[in-house]
Amino acid sequence: MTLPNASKYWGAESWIMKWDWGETFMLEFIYLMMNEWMDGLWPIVVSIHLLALIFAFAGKYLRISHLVVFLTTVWLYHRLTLYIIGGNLLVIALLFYLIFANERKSDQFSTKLNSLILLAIKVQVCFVYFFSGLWKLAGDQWLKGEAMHYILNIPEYSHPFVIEYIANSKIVTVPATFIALAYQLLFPFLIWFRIFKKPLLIVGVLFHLIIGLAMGIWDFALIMIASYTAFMFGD
Amino acid sequence: MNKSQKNSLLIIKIILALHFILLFLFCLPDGLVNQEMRAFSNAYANPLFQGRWNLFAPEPPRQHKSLIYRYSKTDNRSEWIDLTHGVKEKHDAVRIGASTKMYHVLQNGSHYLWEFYFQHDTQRDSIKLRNMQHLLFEKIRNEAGAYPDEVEMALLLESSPDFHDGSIKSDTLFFNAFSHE
Repeated sequence: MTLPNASKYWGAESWIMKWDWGETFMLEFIYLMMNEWMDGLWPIVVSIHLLALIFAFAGKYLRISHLVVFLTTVWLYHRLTLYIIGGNLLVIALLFYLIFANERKSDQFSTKLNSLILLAIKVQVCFVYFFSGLWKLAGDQWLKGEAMHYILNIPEYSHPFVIEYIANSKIVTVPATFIALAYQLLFPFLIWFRIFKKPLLIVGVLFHLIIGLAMGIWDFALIMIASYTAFMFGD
Repeated sequence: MNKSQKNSLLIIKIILALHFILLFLFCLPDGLVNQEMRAFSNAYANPLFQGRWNLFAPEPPRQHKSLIYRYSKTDNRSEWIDLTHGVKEKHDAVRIGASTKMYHVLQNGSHYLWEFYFQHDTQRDSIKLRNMQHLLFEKIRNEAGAYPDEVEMALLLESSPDFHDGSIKSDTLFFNAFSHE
């Protein structure tokens, strides 16, 4: 989704301002693409990123390809640092765990290590839901059932059709508010029980597809759906 | 597994446990964690694991922010232009694609400018203003072929209809005109 406007994000004439983040070596490394000398190099970084993705999907040189995908993702996202959203941050976290995985090896050590990485990914997804729910409990609108009404009435997070026909219908928005809140709070606890897993994942896929379609926050929606694959393996 | 592999796994388990404890402390709302722990977990989590997962929380957004701008070049002054003009229409027509990402980037910029208006006391806040100024200069150069001499901008705020009585409030925030550095 960023590639057609890539030069506006990462090019020499980027619409997004650069500033100095380099207080430490680590920060300089993470914000590498904030440097002037990187302006002309974004096509190379993007190409390396895509190439590493191809290798990763093909199962070739997994450790290195996972590491390269992680690093290039961090560099590209952190050039757009004010615009990083939850979906982008979740990608970074999941890619970080994947650096240590190598599903092609089947010796006992690798199998146990891969199981640990899978567990870390599951815990990370549970963190997302748990804290999304917890933060909402600190406010009034979610507990009063009014939150969805306000969110869906804002064009940025809605769709003209939704604003016209759904956003002001309390029969829809009040239950939707409580369902979303309950789902986020219950998911981290119920997903570990086999009996709840399938229904939770199905509801979750629908929930995130609606977020993608109605709100247009596709990055987050697709990443969350992709992360569900972790719960389909390694019982 | 040999002994060194078992030890390696144990070390990885301990590191992962510490990692998630620090992220847990980092994600907790203020007031539920003391300042020392907050500072320590902030230092660990930023910037790679900076997600606090608090979108639409604790309260959802209650107003839409539209940025409008106009610019002058030599003696000509443009009409007021909506920042998302052309992009929003494509975003509404096709929900997945380049326009959707660009629309959210532009709207995030407007949101940050709104934050700057009310809390411009830190270096990060001043970046929010300068970033929007930079964005407008580059956008105008991209569309009009040259940098403008001066740009004016304003944020139009329109609340969602009140849940109980449906009333809508609107306001406009004006910013000082600015020139290219």
